[in-house]
Amino acid sequence: MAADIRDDFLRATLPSLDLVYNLARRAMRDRDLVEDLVQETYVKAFEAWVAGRKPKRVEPWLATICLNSARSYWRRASTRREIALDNVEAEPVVDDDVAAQAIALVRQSLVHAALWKLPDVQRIAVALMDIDGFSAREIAGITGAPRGTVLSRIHRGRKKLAQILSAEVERLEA
Amino acid sequence: MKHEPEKAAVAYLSGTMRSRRRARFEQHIVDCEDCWQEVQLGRTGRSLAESGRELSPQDTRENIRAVIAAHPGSNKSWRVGWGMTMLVAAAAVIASAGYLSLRGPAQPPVIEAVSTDYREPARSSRVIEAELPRRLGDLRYLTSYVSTVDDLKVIAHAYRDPAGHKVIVYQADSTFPVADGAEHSSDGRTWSAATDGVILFCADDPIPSLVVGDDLREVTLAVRELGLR
Repeated sequence: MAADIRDDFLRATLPSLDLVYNLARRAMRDRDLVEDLVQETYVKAFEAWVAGRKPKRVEPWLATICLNSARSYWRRASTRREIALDNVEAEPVVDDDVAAQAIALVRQSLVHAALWKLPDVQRIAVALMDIDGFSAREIAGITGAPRGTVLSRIHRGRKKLAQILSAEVERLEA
Repeated sequence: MKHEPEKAAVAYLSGTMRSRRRARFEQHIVDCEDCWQEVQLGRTGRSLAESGRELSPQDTRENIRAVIAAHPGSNKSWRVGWGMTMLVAAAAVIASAGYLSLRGPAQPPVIEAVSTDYREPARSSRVIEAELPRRLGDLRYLTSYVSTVDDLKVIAHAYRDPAGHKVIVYQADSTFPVADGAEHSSDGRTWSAATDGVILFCADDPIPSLVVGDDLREVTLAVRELGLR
């Protein structure tokens, strides 16, 4: 197979890696599973690409593949719910402005942990809109839920997130 | 009109509220605690969620490149196997087997063909569903494919470590021929050899397997993790 098709595929899809990674982070709790899900998403996308199924827009296409792969895993995994939801993961602190970086990373970790306290449908909807930047119409296409339901899930997810985190973030930034 | 703070806040924050109703709602929330709370919580939650955005790790990007480079591009669906099948966890005593350096062309054709496949996997190989673990220590799974080395049909499972060392685990239905000059373990059940810069470890239990790599540490690791003996 020509190397060109690999280059074309990577050129078109690698700019969306952060998007897929962030979605995978909200679909899988375990870091190794996040990596596996990202990899599986790209492999499936590549196979579709080779088969001539190139999308008009890469981002929603990758997000759909990512979520479908995650759903397949959820169906098979019976132990997922046993994972503790309260752990705030420690992130490495890098770069010059250590204090600001540390606060940003702690905040990021708090948000990540709080997102995992939301019901799956709310967490994924919030991630798709507020982290990955999809519109409600696109999210409806990706998740298969009506647009009104999507908006409602997002609002309820945001509300819960605010209720869980407001006090902690205020304390952190005081 | 029915007072539904959540519904109204959803429409207001998502921009789907018509302009006249929007203006009325903006006047309303000034003295309606419930609606004010709904809107404020929605805004705060959005801002918090946005701050959770992360950058993907650099090695994720490199892994994607490696996986796509190693993928033959078959149309057959490639499932990387969430459900891993761990092989029998028996202690491998590869250290006792030792390694013997061998050079020259005097290897059985299957061993020669495996060495060639290790260096340049045949692009025509058919990709299949993975049956081995996704990680063997720091070795990360890349792909699995069916191939023919000389006349022996094999299933190959490729791994790579962060330093770029590749390990391929070849499995067959029948025993692999012993490499010329191979050294056998004390119980005679496994052998190891090095030929032309490639390290080989062979075991028949639980199934005939030939582990091939260019780094002794990683080959040893794979053997131990797979429980070959």
